[in-house]
Amino acid sequence: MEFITIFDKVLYSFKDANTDEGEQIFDSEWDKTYAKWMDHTYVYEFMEENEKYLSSPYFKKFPITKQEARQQIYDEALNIKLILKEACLNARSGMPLDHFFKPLNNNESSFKSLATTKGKSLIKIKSKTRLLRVYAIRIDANVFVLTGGAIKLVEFLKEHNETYTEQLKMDRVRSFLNENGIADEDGFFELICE
Amino acid sequence: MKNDNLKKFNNLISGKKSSFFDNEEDVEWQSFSAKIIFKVLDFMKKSQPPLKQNELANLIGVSPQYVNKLLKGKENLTLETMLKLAKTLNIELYELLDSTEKSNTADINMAMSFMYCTFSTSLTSQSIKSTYLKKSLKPETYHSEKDIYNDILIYK
Repeated sequence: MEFITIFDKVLYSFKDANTDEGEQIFDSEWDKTYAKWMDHTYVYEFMEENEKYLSSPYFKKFPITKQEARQQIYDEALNIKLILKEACLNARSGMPLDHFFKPLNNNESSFKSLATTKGKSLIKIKSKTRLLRVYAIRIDANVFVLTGGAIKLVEFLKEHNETYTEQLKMDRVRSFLNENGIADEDGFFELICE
Repeated sequence: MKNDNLKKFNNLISGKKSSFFDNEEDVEWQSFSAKIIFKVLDFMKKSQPPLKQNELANLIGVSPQYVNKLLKGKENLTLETMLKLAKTLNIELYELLDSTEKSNTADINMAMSFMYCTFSTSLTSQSIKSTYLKKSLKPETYHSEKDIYNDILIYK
């Protein structure tokens, strides 16, 4: 696993043996995720295959059609790129990236070291249910590692392969960082209790 | 621990840089193009039998590689291709957009602006350009690309 710079001194992603797919070479896992969101054929097929999720309770309050969903995915992706760049530029002037990334677990209000985090688009949308998630590991208030992202059609990550794969990726990166001496808060507390 | 973590992480950075932020996006045009491409994919799927990429390429007179890039989002839709698609798919230009969306008029306006720019390269009068661009463009004003061409010709 190697860490790739997305925005110098602020935002990184990673690349490992699973990143490239056949002849398709990607700079990093984040580049691969974004390429998928920009791929009309991929998004179209994804929504064809997963249309049933749109009639689940998760979308009951703010229903959305598959036609609306695929366009929203594209528009959210474009918006994410813009706000990520803005967030990175602001981070250089001292504003923490925490403004974009929130704890993955909704019950957590503050960050732990190596916290798993999520980010969403800020675009004005009709459905009010944002469909894209950016996932990252927090190294520091202004340093994050993007592990990827997903089209989120379910409430919990484990309920869909698309999001569950991302959960596993986050775990993999976190373990790698641990193995390389970067302690997470849980590990730190275990250490001081010994 | 924080600074220590950061130092250790910095040692893990490979030195390779992603090209993610290298290109500036034309967000409005890309969003507009995506809307059309999704309609094209619908058309291809609903055709009996479903239309293949190389067949679409033949129909609109472009290379299969170009169609593949368009559908994969690796190439932006040009106005010329958009018109070819509208003609081939036998649908009016404004039908490529969802008439129920509020942004429809804005989308049409943008398309018209692009069209105007494309067809007005020989125009020198800024006043004619601005008159055209300021004109209130409503979807019902334009029934086909022929109407648009005619309108442009009148202004020319």
